[in-house]
Amino acid sequence: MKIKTLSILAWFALIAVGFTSVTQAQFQSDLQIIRNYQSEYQAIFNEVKALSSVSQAQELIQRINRLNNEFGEHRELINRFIHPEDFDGQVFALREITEASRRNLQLLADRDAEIAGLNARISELSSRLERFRVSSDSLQQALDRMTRDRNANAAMVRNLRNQLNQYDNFILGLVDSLFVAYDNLDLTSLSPSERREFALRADKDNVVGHIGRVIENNIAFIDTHSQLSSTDILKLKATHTDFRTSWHNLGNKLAGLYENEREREVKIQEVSGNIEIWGNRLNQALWRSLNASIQVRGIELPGFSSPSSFYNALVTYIDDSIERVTLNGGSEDELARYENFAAMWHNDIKTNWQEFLIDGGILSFQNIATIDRKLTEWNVAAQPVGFNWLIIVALLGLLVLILIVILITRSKGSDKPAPVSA
Amino acid sequence: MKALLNTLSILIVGVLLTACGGKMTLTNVNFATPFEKVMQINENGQVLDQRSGLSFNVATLLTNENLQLSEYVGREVRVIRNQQGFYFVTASGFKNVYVMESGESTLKAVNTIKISDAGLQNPAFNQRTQYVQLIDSGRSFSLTRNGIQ
Repeated sequence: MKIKTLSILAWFALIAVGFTSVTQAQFQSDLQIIRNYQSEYQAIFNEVKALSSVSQAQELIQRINRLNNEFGEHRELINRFIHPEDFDGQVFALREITEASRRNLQLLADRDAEIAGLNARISELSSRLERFRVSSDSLQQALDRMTRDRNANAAMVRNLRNQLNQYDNFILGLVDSLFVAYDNLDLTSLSPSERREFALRADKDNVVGHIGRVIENNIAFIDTHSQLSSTDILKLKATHTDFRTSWHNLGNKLAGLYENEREREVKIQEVSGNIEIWGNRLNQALWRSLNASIQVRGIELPGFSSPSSFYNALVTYIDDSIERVTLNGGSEDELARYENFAAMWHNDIKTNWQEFLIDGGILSFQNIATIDRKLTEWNVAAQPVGFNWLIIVALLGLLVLILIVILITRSKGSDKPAPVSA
Repeated sequence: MKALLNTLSILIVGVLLTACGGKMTLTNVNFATPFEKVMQINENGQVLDQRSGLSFNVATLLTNENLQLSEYVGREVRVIRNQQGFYFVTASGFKNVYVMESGESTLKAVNTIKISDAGLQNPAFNQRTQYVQLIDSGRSFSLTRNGIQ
């Protein structure tokens, strides 16, 4: 019984409290509503000015949503007070500036993450670079030795080339890796001190120095070896192209970092210049190697050092040969000359160099077809005249002579006057 | 008699002229302020609303409420004007709401509405279409010039 009474009292109390709170909720001071709104609006506005993280911005956007939900039903009242502004306009403006701040903070956070990632990547590469530095020094010494002793055997050259390739590929990876990292970085967003920090970092890791060394090594290698195979040239050319592309991208970024450092800027320009020199040396090596693979067969072409002069040298040589054969007639010697040249063209140039020549824009398919057609023409003209043909011609001549004699004899017989009858 | 008629005629004409060429009256005026004004009492009993410039002295009201000005310095007086142009004035601790009309540099009480013997705790006025709402501690009163509706 006692419990039942208590329970009923509790229910009444609960209802009374509920009623009171409902009543209180119904009676609100208009001015207080506005003051509450203005107080919250101002607090949010101040928070926007002090935002320092994306999460804070997101929380603030939620707070603006709550402000909108809580005071939205009083917008007419609020509008009367804050005229000529209005509630929706103020909430919209709060959202806009908070969202703009959030985007900016997000950009900064992304950039910070990129910088952290870049630093980690550079640190990782730095430790690998250190390991490579030792082997690079020994490679440099090997190259120096080889430069002094130009009779280095092929096995040594291959070995050295392989080691250089490994080093090239590593540095290329480093350059690419750095470029990707630097590319994600908006340099304009960096403060001068951050920019300087990056420049110092790049300096510490001697990025430009390593790249410069790769270029120097490659130039030295090309200079040391007068006759490189098409495979070597192809590899070197590919490495050069990759380096040039990567450096073109990274160099601009590094130049951006070093924009106020004249000395470093010069260093970067020096690398760019050396890459061009490397390309030129490679081209010279290409012509040297092509010339050597032609000369080894005893064929003396006019000198060439460009795609057009190379094509003209080939065509001129063939044309001269055809003209000579046409004048003097084919012979065993001419045929041998033709076969030597054709072997050089088909077995050396086309087999080993065609892909490179086409890809490099040195010869076109049309150029190659023209040379093939001229070679066929030379082949036909160079053929020596055969013995059977001479006998047939002589017999035919004899036959014609006999026929002529017979015809003349008959003609004389018919011209004799008939005997006079008595 | 004739003189009396003349005098009356002059008076009638005078009254008519005064009515026609005298004060102009505008109608359908709504004096309601959308919000109450909350003003602090200074040491002289003066209150001032910065936005509207309304200013008056509440010393007489405090005396009427048996309250000491010294105890009310810095406390708030709440005022709202209804559609008809009557001012409703009260403050926490007041037992009444004073309905006042404006005169020449004066506010004259036209009604005193008794709300609470214990005194209001936390009063506030809201402007409503047909009346002025007084709320205090969860209670609501609909006030007009004549009293509680």
